[in-house]
Amino acid sequence: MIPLLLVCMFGLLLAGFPMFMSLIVAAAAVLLVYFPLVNPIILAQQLISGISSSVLLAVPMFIFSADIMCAGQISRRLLDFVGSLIGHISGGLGVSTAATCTLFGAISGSTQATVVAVGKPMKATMVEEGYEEEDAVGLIINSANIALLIPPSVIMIMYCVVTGTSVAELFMAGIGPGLVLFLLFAGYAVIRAKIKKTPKEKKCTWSERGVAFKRALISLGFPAIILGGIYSGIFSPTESAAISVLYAVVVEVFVYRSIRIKDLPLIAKSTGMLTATIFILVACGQAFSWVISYAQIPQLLTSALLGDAPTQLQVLIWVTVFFFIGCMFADQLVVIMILTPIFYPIAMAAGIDPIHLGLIISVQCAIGSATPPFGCNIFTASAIFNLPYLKVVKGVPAYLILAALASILFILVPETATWFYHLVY
Amino acid sequence: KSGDMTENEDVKVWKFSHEESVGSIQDMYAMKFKEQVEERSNGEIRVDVYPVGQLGDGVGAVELIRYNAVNFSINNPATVATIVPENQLLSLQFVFSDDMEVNRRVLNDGNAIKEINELYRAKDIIPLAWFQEGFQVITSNHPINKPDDMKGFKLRVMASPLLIASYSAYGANPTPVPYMETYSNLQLNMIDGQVNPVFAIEEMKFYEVQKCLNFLNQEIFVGTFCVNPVFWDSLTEEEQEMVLDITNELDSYIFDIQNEYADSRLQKIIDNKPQITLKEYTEEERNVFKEKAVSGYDWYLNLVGEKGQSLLDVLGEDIKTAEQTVSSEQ
Amino acid sequence: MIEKINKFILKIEEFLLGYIIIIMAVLLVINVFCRSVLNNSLSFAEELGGFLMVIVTFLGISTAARFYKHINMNAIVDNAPRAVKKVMAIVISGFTTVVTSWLTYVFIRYALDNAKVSRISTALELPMWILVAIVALGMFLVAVQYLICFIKNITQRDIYMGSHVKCGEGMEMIYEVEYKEFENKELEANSETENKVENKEVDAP
Ligand code: NA
Ligand code: NA
Repeated sequence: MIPLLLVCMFGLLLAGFPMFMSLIVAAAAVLLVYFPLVNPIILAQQLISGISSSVLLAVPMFIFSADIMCAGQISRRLLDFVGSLIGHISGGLGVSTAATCTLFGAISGSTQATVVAVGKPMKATMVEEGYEEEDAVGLIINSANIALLIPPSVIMIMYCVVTGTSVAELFMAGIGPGLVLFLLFAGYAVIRAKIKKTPKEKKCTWSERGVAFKRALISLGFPAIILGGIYSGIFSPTESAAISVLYAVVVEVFVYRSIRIKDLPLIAKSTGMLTATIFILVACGQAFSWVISYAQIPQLLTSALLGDAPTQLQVLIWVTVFFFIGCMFADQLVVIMILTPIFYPIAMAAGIDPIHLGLIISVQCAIGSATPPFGCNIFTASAIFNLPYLKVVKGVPAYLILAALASILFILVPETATWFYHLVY
Repeated sequence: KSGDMTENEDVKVWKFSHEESVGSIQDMYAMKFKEQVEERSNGEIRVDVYPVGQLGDGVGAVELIRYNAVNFSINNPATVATIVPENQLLSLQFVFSDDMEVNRRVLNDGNAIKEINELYRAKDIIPLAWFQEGFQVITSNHPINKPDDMKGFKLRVMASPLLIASYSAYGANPTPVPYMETYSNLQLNMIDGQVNPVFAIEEMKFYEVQKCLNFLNQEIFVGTFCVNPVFWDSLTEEEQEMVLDITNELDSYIFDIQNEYADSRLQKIIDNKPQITLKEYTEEERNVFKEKAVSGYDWYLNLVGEKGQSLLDVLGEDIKTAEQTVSSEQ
Repeated sequence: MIEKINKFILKIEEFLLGYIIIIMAVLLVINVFCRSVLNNSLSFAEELGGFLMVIVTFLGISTAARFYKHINMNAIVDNAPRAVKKVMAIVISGFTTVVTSWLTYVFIRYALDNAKVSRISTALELPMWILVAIVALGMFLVAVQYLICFIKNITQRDIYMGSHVKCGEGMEMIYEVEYKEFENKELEANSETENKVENKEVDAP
């Protein structure tokens, strides 16, 4: 049964089939061959039920608002504001990029949107100022990962849907590791700039900063509304996603006037198609995950791997390794859908806090979006900057080392990941 | 043939799913069934239990059994209502007795249940047994003494139109929230209260973020032990007999467990939070609620028409009969 | 003729994709308003949202199939010689047609079964077979797109990655960005013409 599953899945994947095919064919093959008495309609039922959860609705809504902001000016203005504050320090542009990604991450739930929205204006500036192209792109695609840890975040929503953890709580908790990663990346940018003697920007006067602040003010109010709204219970995470669409429309259409209302259907159309390509994977991932859990494959695998009573440390290490490898080959949402049901029960049995586990998994998925061979940020960057794949990937290893350091830290000292959660709750 | 590679090919595997956590009432039922089947078949049959709705919850759980993905399951009427709307009879307010022993008889031998069983069969589900899991308890931050105390009260219920109609009738503002989001919604005051049996309130820690448990005894929570018809027909006569036999024995077993849980889980809540208010109701107080509950009945009759009225009448008869037998036995 | 019908279906697909996303947003915003201001939530909002999501997904995947937008790992095949690419394009489109056709059949059976037991949704009490039938239709449209792609691959010299996309046309991007780029260009073009119009109006008096 396991060989059939693996051959179908990886065979089709490596042969270049659409990823949804490799998942659904593997699931159907196992079901038809080993469980002939089960009515295959159950697959159809899983395909539909996997995506009709109301919590998941937040995902297309966050993508939609991010798409609106990509077409508008919010990210540009945030960047100008952050740049006016810290652009003049050594490595200022790099720090600004990481900081803007973090800030934009508090508005946007998707990392590709962050690559597009922050990366486009930022890369041009960095190259003008004498940064090497690979360095700039490497920084951008990795900093964009921070946006997946700072709430809102689509991967956190997926983890919560699969495990039943509270979205609001995991969102709050994500700020902790998000800031840790930001500090690591910013520190690296400063040190690297000192070594390479990258030229500094001119320092802005306070009145210039005031102007930049005013221009960015409305965008800065956004995270406050989203996070404050979720935290105080004014709206649920799903509702906050809809509010973020409303906010993006109000700001871009009526305040900044960078988009016209009749452009919205066009933007929505591209959101719709992206939603479809992601959610067909989620649907097939659900069917796949159902079949392996039906065939009790997780129990076979994990008992072989972990024995009967693994320690928390063992479980967390294996979780990290499996999610990292999984994200090398598949979309993060699918990886969560398939691997979380396997590891979650073991982690709970070992007494791991579901929030801590959620953070560890989110960090791996965030890192995974910039990790070759399959990393959505890499594809996005290669498309918008019109750069060959290998050139985009060249700047990644340094950040991988930093991210690995952070991962080890989060596992060994859980407080470094969960500190913000404990601060709030 | 099960396709499981870890056992030899002669062992038959029966799959059993339920939606509650390990150690819960449904799980105790399933595990006892497993133990009995494996023992009586001398190990020729193995029962795999899938708890916590891990193969499917809510409406998905109904399809699991209908498509023979699992052979046995424990379902709740609320989820099966999407294909057997008549069964919402069992979720009406104050439709059952205050006396669990009476309810037990109604669920075991009542004519209304027999009719509902037929409705289930017509939709490819065979109910083998019905059992109670306790009264639904309303939790809140202020005592609910009369319906007026529920004015504008945001109450989490399952996404069922009947429940929404029923609790609106008291003046509450029923809000369907996913089960897993309920705790944080209570904590954040997005909702003011929720309805669940005591074991769920203890398990999900709802009492931590609520001040009162209101024992209005307005609804009971019911489980249905079901089998897939195709699978059932494929069993030998001896196997069917064995299953029916075990099911009969499980009745008193699960009744005692349910009673025991109602006490022990409540005790756990009180131990963890001694300041919690437990609101009990006098007959007069309950009657005020009962009067208001009529509109839920209207909604039900509107939905299922004459069949609903006749089921309601039959159930009323069943309860009267059971009350008489129980009181004559005492 | 077939091309014309296919283009017409594409127009419908695109229209639905965009407007369903907008309806979702409007629905959820109204729900927030009702719950927080009117203190009365729409009990059906989340269920309806879930249905819209299912519809967007299963109608959108055929658009994605046309333009070769489905996420895949094409690193190996991309660097293979042309003959291998051609064979793989045939195998992929052919086998995907078979699988999606089978799924269409399963969805139709599911829809029929839902109709048989008259299953209704929990909150809206809508007949569920309608939703499943829409899903079956979406799956059918995917099968058709892969079939067209397969036929083009065996009848023409070019390599087709999607029913509208040839290999090497620069359209085989794995992600959505370039589609979005295309939209952005369209937006810019639109706003430019509008600006010109505005300028003329200013100049006129
Ligand atoms: Na974010
Ligand atoms: Na990756």
